[in-house]
Amino acid sequence: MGAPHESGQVTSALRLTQALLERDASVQVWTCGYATLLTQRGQGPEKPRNLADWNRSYPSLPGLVEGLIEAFPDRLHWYGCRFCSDDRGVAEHLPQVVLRPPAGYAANVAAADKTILVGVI
Amino acid sequence: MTQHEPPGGGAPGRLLLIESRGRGEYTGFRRDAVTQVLGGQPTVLFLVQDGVMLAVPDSDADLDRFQAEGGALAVDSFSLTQYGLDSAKLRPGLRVAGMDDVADWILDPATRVVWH
Repeated sequence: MGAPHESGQVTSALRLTQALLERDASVQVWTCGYATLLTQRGQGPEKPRNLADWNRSYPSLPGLVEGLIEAFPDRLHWYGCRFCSDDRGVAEHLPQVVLRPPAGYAANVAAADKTILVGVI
Repeated sequence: MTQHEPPGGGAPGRLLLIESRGRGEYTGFRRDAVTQVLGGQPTVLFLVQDGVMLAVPDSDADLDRFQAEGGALAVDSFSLTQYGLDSAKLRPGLRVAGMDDVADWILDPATRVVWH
């Protein structure tokens, strides 16, 4: 939940997701509000070039997410709220992302052993 | 205590509270942590992001009481580095941990997790 660049929250969430996957857990990530922009395909896999480090490539947030999904294709499942996504004009998501209606969140929670809510929508 | 067992032991019904907010912000969560410990609930409070500012001594009265009443306090090593606190003097009894440890704690069926 919450805007991706408001704090270090996304970094923490991705770090924890990776740590759980490395321990053979299955993880569902659900994004709401401006967090749906995390998987906006139009950002491309890399960030704009850093003028202070011209030859270094920095992955974009969608790039990081896609890399994580590709590394754990059978155990990381990424969902986004369709209403929040449409409301914020996210035209196209990464192909691996499943958009669901807001009520789908309850179904995802019911299917999980544990749910951790990070951030405020 | 095993390497990835949370501080405070492996007692059943353990509560893992993750605090990402810092000094002066939203103190209710930390007061709730104190309440849990006073009620006999084994509780780990993990400081991450802005929360690592509370890892130094005399930074928060609620955390002082949390530790005094038997709560287990841990802090994220990555966040300490990000905030320039990896060489700072930290609270006595504070355990420096990482997301690998947090993942192990979360995967324990006896642990419930709340993130603030």
